[in-house]
Amino acid sequence: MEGVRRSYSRELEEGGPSLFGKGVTEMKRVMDLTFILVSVLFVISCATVKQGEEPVSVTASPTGVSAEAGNGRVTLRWNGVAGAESYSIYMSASEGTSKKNFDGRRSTTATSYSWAGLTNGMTYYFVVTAVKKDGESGDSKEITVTPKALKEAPRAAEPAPKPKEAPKAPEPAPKAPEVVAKPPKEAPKAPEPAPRAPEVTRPAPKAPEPAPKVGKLTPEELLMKADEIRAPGQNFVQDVRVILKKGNTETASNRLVTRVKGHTKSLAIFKEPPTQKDQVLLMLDNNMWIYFPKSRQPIRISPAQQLLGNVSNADVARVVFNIDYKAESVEEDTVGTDKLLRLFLKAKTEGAAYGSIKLWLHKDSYKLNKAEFYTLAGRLLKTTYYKGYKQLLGKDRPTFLEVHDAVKKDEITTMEYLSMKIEDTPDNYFQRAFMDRASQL
Amino acid sequence: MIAENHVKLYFRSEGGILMKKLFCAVICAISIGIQMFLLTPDGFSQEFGYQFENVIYEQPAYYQIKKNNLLNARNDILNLDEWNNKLWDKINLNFYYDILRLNTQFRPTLFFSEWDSNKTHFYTDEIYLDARFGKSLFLYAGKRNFVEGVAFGLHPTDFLGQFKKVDLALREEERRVQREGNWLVGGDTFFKDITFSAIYAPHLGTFQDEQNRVLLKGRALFEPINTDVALYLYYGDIPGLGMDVSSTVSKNLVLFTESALRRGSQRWTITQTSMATDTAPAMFKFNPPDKDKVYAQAVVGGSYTFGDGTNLILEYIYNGDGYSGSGWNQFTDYARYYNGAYNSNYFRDLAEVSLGRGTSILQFGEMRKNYAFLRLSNNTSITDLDGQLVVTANLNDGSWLGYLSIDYSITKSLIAGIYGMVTFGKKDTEYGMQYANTVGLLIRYFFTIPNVFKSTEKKQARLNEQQSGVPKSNGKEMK
Repeated sequence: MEGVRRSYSRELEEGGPSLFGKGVTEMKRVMDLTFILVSVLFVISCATVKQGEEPVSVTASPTGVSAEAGNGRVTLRWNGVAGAESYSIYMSASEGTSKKNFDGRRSTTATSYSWAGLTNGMTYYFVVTAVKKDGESGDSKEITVTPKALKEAPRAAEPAPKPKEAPKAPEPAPKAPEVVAKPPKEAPKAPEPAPRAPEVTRPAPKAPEPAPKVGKLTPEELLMKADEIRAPGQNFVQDVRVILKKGNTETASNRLVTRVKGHTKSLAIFKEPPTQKDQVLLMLDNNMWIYFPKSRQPIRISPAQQLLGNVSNADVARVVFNIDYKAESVEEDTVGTDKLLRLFLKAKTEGAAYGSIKLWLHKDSYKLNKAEFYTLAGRLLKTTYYKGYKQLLGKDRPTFLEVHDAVKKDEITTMEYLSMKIEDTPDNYFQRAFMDRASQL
Repeated sequence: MIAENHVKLYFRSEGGILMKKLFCAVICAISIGIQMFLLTPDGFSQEFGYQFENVIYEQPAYYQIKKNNLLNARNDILNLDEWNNKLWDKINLNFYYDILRLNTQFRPTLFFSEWDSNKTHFYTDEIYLDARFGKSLFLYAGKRNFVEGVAFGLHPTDFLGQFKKVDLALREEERRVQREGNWLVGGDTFFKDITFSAIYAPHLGTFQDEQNRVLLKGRALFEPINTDVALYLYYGDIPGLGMDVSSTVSKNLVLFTESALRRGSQRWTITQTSMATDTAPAMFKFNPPDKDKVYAQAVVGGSYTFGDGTNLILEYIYNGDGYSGSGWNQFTDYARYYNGAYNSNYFRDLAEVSLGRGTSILQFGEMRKNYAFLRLSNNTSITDLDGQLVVTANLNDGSWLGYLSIDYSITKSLIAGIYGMVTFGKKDTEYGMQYANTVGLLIRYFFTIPNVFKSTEKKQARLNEQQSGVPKSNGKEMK
């Protein structure tokens, strides 16, 4: 009805429709415009290709690529290419790896490379390229390899296989914060890459009253250790399924792919169910927006505006506590036969979803066991159990979280981590204006 | 109705041939685009894919016609239906290959009502080509529908779409997506925390009858103060400047404002030129809108979330182009006079035409200057029930419009909802002059067709299988 009235209104104002003759001229004009635009796109595209990543290559690709599976690592060897200054190795978790489609990249000047930090039992795909002054070669033949745990893996990192040529050291990783703690008494693990140093500000070293320590670590350092287990680095992508159950009945579920950058930036894209597909949740520190495809209007929401039942937006958008919470104290605790540490966290930012948190960690491994989340008034909201520890990106990480509502006792929300990978997302994608394009990522 | 006739006439005329030419031009553009990919060194290795998302809507509605309506006396002037049914399909079909993306939205619609025979329409809301250059630059061309702004009750910065036809039976947030876009060319460039956009929508005769329009937009986030700002500069039939600001004030509260300064009124006014006599009716004059009038439209509001997740949005709306008290009185005097004339068979033909003319200048929702808007909702994505209550009150005359909608998710793909729209107010108030109260059902069925080409989806499936992240034990193995 509205449309009809508005049409009448426009008629009155404009004195009737334009003449077709004028329309014809205008149509010609728009066709011209279309061709001009296409030409511009073409020119820019060509320029992009020229300036872009890969000029057309005349360099021969490396041949004879072979791989040897190790414990959490793969050693690749190939025949040298004359005139090559270095070699690039591209890795992917699925076939079809190329220099355009990969999950990880390394470079070396040698003709072998030992790629560590891989998950045992998982199949990886590699290609190698030769890099010369005039450009990069095409991809070598793709090679498939599955690292596996050795029967008696040594505790220390296994010695790198000795290639014929002197191997180049892997790319220097930022040093992990020095932690004076006993190594966890656990089953032998694959050697892990050095954990990346968190960017977050460490507690002021000259605090008037240092927080009490258990062992040699302060509460803040313990929190860092717990966060390192939950987050594989600064920039990663995780795929999470959230399921709400009442009793034993599944009442609702979502699947979200979350892109995290620097811990404080995240872009969660709903993949399921069909009714919510392509919804996007953007978190930039305390700024939060939701984008619904049905409205296309990114709406700023407050941190209290929960979209996922018992699971807070922050739970899917952030996986570390130290951004929003300060660890104030730590106590030893025993649950069953498990020796645990109980950390007391208090909100330090406006955007923190909870007033305080009690966090239980395994004393030896710092793995999270459970967490209790409280309101500012100290009322228990929910309890989360961290389960399903699996090797993910070089560390044992929880892949299954069970969230029990403190009030509605029969309501349980689970968060299941379907996958996790290291991937950098450009800074400029974490913007309100980009949200309508986020589902294209 | 008139717009639809234009479309029909257009396709039968010389313009129809031009449409074909335009179609050819688009095909050429796509062909050139494809050749462009082939020139890239690794063109063949790039992924081709598509996204197909589809929502089928079924919307039967019943209208309680107000028979004593001032402008639609005895329901004779507009002959409104007491019921109708609308069945439509919103199809989003997007193709992508490397840097290019072709986005489309179509709405084939079948409409039938009490008096009308079946009517079908095929709305092309969007069909545009979007090209990405590097990580920061996007250029696009074609028909595109932009949804701008941060407010809910009025959208002062919705410069390109504010006069497009919308379906008022849909929820407020859905209306602007299901409308036809504009033919345009434009680009967005993204920097860290800042975005710039430039859009040109040309005049295309009857095909796009608005004059040439240019919209420049800039958006910035001021993270330390949790605030983002967008500025708009618009050149067109009603040029203007716009701004929207939104800010997170506390854990529960977001404040926002959206405003625009425009030049060019939309408001027809009526003045009485002679009194009625025994032998002649009263005469009224329609004064065209003042194209040089400068006025402001602004919305100031807040969104508060309660502990149980209920969200309340409150807005004050100022519409500088609305009728003043005297202007509105002139309009209602006119309607009242001809309503009386029609009902008493006094110059009935003239009265019928005059009431029709009065109808043509009525636009509910923004006739006056001051409004309040309230929206109460409990919308989380994990509950089956989703309710929304919207109240828009005209603060000048005390009339108001209420919209209540309750949706229930029957399955993960099927949502059934009921909605009602009621108006309250005296006969000569804005919402009191609304023609009918409405109650209807809205059933939505969502489905998608998985992309058979997209290797990243296959890759995802493999990752899900391979990575240890699939906890078959559901955590029982925890140490």
